[in-house]
Amino acid sequence: MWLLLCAADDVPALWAATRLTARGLDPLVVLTPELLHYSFRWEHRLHSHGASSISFTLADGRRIDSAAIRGVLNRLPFVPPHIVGRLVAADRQYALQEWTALHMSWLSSLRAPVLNLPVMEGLCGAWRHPSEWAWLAGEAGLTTEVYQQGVPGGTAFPHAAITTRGAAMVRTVIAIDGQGIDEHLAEDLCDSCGRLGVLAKTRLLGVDLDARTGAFIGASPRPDLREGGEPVIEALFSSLSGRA
Amino acid sequence: MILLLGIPTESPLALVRGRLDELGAPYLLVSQRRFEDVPFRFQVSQGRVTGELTVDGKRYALEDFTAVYTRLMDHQSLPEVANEPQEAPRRLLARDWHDAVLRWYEIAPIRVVNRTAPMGSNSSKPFQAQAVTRRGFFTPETLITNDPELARAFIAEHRRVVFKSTSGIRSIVREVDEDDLRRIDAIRSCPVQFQAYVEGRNVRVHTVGDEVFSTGISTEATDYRYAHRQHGEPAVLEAVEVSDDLAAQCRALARDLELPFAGLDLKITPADEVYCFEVNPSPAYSYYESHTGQPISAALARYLVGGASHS
Repeated sequence: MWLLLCAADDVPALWAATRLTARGLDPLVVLTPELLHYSFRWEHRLHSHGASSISFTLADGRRIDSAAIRGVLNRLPFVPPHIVGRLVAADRQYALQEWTALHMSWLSSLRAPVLNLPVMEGLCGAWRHPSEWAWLAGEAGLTTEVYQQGVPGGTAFPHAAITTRGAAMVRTVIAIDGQGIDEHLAEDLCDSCGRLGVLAKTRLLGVDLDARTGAFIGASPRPDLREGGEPVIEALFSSLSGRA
Repeated sequence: MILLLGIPTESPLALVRGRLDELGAPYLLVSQRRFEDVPFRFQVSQGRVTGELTVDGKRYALEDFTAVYTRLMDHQSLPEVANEPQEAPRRLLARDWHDAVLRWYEIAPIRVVNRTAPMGSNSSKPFQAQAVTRRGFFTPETLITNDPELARAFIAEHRRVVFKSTSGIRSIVREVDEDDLRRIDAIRSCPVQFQAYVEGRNVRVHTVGDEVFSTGISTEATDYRYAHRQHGEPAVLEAVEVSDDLAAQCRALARDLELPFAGLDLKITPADEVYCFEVNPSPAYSYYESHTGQPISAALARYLVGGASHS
């Protein structure tokens, strides 16, 4: 089976789910944070030599087992606070961190491809600071606005973050496994977007560019997949089916 | 020049400062309590990171720093802001100053001990354990579960079992006892990490770049950090030697985790199996140095100075 982890209102993810299933990722099980956390009998084992396993039982009785997982499209942004709402206030932050730590581990332990692996900066990939994106984008060969941040003269001023200021339209390029996917974009820009994904160590990355100038605006590990259309579905299918 | 950040009197920072003085190495020590009168700004342009900070009227280009040792504490606890309302200008200033400094050294192309992002592996112990075993260390048999029956079976199988937090939140490692078994149904609310108890000798290894310092720790307590509380007596520390292979393994693991400075908690069994329980990304090394005389601070200073040859 394949897993799609996403919020219930993640329309781009659900759009991708129907198309990936039609392509052959079947069965594709969609799991929302609520389904995950209201499941029971979580069993994550790590053995002394390094082997590991995960299994849990959904509320409807279906059992999810690592041995049967062939790939994961992971768009879990975070563990939603309402999951621990029934706990006493003093325990809620602790429980959120414990659940986050568990998800970081079991997703990383899978032998199957996972797009994206969880990291400290985000369960579905790194939500990097604008300064870091500006730096990485420059390293990747993308044109960027100057990013400034600081506290001059003892007075705070807001981050001069890269914004859509002046950008009439934003073009989102989806980069998967180092390949920027956009048939209508110049090859060098596509390559730079792919390079950014590699530098950011994020297998699935949405790169926002100024549609007019091609300048970098921002990036996200949870992009709107619909922006890439069927070529993105094709690339996702290849990566998740192990054919990439 | 080396930049030191934090509270000047805090032992780990003070020790490194002293070692840099011994080496005659140029450094600038900035107390984080001076956030109000140390202007700091940086910028990123086409991948290049530049900026400046001003201390007592003197401007320093950030590009002139070749290394940073950061021991910044949580700015919200600073005496200057601890009693301020949440939206007080002073508190916001402290927040923005610390954020700017941290954001700069996260991307600056210099040696940093340690950047924040790599420290994240410690926010999930089993996540970090996977990196540990990839380097050939053993990790205790581990079960993370919210099912009391699975937990009871694991405890029955391994007889001696400890439990601890799964995340980076500090917990006191304790053995499961009868009282814990009576309340084990409580784990349904949140998964708990259980591990088989490992017999053996505690060894703490500090890696600083390519240098390795090993400290043997003798105690009957389950968690040597709380030996006095758990067993009534503090742990006894002494400098020990480990094999060249083990030292190389420790260095490699620290590099895998992108930690120029790391504290590895090992246990060596009677059968010479080496278990690694945790790689601490912000080791309070002064405790070990003060008990054993091992010159960890000197190694840190050498590592920071070595940044000049790599910039």
